Amino acid sequence: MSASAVVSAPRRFQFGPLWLVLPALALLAVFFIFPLGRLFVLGVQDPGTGALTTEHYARLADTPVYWRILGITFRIAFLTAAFCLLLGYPLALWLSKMDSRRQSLMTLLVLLPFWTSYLVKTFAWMILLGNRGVLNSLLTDTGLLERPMRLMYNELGVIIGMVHAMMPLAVLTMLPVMNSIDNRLSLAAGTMGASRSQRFWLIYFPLSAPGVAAAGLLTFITSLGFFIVPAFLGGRGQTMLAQTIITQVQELVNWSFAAVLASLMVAATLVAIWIYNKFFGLSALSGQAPKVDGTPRGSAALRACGQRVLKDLAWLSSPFDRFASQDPSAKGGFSIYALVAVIFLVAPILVVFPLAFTSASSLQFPPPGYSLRWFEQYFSSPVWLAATLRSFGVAFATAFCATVLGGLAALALARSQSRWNGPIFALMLAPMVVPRIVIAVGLFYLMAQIGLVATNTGLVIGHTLLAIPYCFITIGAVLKSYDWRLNQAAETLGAGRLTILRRITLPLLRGGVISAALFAFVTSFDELTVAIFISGGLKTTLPKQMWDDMFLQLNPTLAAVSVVVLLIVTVILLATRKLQK
Amino acid sequence: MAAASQQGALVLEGLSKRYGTFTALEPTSLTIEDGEFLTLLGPSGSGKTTLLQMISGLTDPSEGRLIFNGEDWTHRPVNARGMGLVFQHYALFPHMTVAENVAFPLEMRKLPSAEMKTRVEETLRKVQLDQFAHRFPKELSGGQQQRVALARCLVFRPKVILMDEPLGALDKALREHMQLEIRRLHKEYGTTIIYVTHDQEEALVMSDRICVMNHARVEQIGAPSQIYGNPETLFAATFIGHSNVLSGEKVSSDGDVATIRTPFGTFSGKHTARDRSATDVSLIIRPEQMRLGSAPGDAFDGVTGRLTDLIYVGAETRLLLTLGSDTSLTLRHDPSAGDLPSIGDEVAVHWPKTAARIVT
Ligand SMILES: Nc1ncnc2c1ncn2[C@@H]1O[C@H](COP(=O)(O)OP(=O)(O)OP(=O)(O)O)[C@@H](O)[C@H]1O
Ligand SMILES: [Mg+2]
Repeated sequence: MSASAVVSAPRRFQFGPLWLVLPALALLAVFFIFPLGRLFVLGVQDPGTGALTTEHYARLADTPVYWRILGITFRIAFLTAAFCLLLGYPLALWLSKMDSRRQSLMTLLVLLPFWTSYLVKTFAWMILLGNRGVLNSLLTDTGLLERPMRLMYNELGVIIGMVHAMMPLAVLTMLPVMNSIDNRLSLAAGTMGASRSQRFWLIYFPLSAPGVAAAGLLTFITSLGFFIVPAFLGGRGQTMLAQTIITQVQELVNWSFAAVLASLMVAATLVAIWIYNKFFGLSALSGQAPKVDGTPRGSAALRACGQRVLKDLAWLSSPFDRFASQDPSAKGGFSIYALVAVIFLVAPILVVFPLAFTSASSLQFPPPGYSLRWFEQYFSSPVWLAATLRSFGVAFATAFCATVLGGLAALALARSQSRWNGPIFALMLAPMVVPRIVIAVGLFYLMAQIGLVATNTGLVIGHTLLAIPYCFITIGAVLKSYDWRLNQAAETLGAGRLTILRRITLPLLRGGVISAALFAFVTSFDELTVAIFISGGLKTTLPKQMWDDMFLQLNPTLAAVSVVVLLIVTVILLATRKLQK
Repeated sequence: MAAASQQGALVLEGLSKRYGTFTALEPTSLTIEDGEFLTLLGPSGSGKTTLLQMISGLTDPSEGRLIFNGEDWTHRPVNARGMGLVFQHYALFPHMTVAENVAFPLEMRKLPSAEMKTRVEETLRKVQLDQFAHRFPKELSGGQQQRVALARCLVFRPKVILMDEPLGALDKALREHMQLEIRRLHKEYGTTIIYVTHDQEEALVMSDRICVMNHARVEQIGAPSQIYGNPETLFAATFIGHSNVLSGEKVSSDGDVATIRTPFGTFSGKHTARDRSATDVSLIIRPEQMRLGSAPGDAFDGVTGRLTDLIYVGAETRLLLTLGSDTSLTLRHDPSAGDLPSIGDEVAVHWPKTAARIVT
């Protein structure tokens, strides 16, 4: 063999795969990061001179009413998150114990309320909880109550509505983590002499904790920026931060103060995320169980404390072991709870169906007779039809843009091992985590200056921003199971890059790509927050039109519209499910 | 070896691959002639796949050049090389049927569909899969999938075929059939084949030359008989065929002959060690060269040991001898040499000095 001189190979100049993330990054930079930064600056600027000032923050500090609003917002968000976890955990556990076919079927019962528009859900609760609403009618008619009970326009109404709105998110976040828990671990603990409660509290629960924490985080930060439920189901005493921001922008046109409130909201969100990341790491957010690498996060003292608590819980619940192990109905009791929880999630939504077909011109329950008049009203109303068409158009455009941008970004991250992957990943998910109201206000400020308010383009940009994280996660998940060696095989067989994309990669990812597009479609079709600011006065989208109508007067047309929206979302959901199989 | 090589030859010049600080392949130089059947043989992780992938272009070398037919192909795009690669893990397209998988490379070459059809059918027949043409890969057994992978590569008749353990999942009969098929194809089309296998017997049967690899480097390259008869290293001697090894220190060497001192005596043999100056060497004697009885003359060397086991393997009987505490020898019983000794006996063995090799 010749000892020929080693010639070093000059590196080929290559467009690394990371370039594919650029379109999504550009959109996020211009319409997400920049407006957020701008908003933050507005809060510390004198509106006249532009000089740095702390006066807006000082005003906040000096006005007790804002402190109260902050307090209420945190209280409601915290209670919502707590109830969602408490009520959602057993439901998620019940689902996780099923075989995968049954599970995917039953999960539909959680997915349906998850994808149902917040407006429809809130509208349904207004019908149910009102003074002359369904519940009060039933209770007084049967003589259980003499006078109607006050179920809404108070904290009770808000909490019911919020928990109902957020619980599906909590369940769907906990479920994948529970699914990934190895059941044999509990069995193994059993062979070592652990009782039922010890197996649950010392083995199962700690393993499911990352899912619980992720669910808690997501429900908490979503609730922080929420305004639909408190606006309709709460009274004056339940005004939340997001509502105050809307008032500051739309009625008082006080940008500086709105910016201060928005910054506070972002700060609260970041603190929540920081705490979460410190203990669990952000990876659990995207639906995967975090890697257990043997190095527990958090301090040893905290861990010891947590273990102490879990041991006490195991001890406290041990007296109940006897019932559970002897009585076969214990499992039945669990199922009954799950059934009640599912009814709580689904039934309120179904109440809009009879009312949409009522013959009366009020929302009285039960309807005195049935007719199609409210659907006729809807389909003959130019305002409703225009709004529906516009929503469809915007949703289609959004689905296309978000899928392309999110998909390319997912592809880029799947193919690159750059040290930028981490920050880019976090940035792609950020629009899902930063409260929508803040994104919307920031967008409004920017778009008002560049003339995008009241345009379809503006709406599509805003909705694409919100939908990108979903597309990114969905396509990222299918890419994870994609065998990249197939590309190599195709390459050796003579295929070029485009051919590989067209003939191999896309056909294999089709299911994921189409579900991503459908998710984006539904996200846009249901979106209200951005629409409130960007859609403009006359031409509106369907959710915006519903929002306006619900403020004016509750009428059966709204029920008919809700039914239409529900059916569209259901059809899309079922289509997605079929594709993912 | 001349730098200007024959037409159609594949020349590797110091090709190496590192992942970070880990070396998957040390700088390797070798020439593969046009129409040659070269086998890469070595234990798991020795860099066989890495070398193959660099030739195919799927992996960029860290250093070195690849020259095909006089042209620098180091950075030529994979799909412009027209080499066939049979993957270790099949890499069949899961959304295409067997026939579509096999037709894929022809489509890429824009063959007329009628010709495409006959070529696909003919190739599938060759690998005995014609009745599975419309199944999807996941509906096939491992061995069937492997044959699809083979067919997908054979169908476009590439000049150079790289095969990464293409027969690993097949049973013995099918394996031998496919070996013959590959040999036939190799002769018929004059294809250059670079073939990876773990199986030394397969390597001996099929190859023009064998390239023994170990620890990310080439240990020895040569014709099967050359490697079997004149191993250069202990690894090559023990990886191909069985060897009796007596380790020791080289005391002298004279041209082609060297002398080694071991705890069991001083012996001489042909000096084939790659590193001629090394003093830590081993004496290698193949089992079939050893005979029972003490050395009959000057042309022979011999030792004595305790017989510890007798193994019957059909046609022959193997004798296992122990020398000292940790050295053992194997030899084949030659019926003409008399009766079998019994276990526990002290027995003498000898071998011709010309049959012994001294390696590093
Ligand atoms: N992408 C990679 N990154 C880091 N190390 C790698 C990579 N690919 C291969 N290696 C390492 O390079 C070494 C050689 O790998 P290679 O696949 O060439 O082995 P092989 O001889 O084909 O083994 P086998 O017979 O098991 O297929 C191995 O130690 C492997 O772990
Ligand atoms: Mg290999």
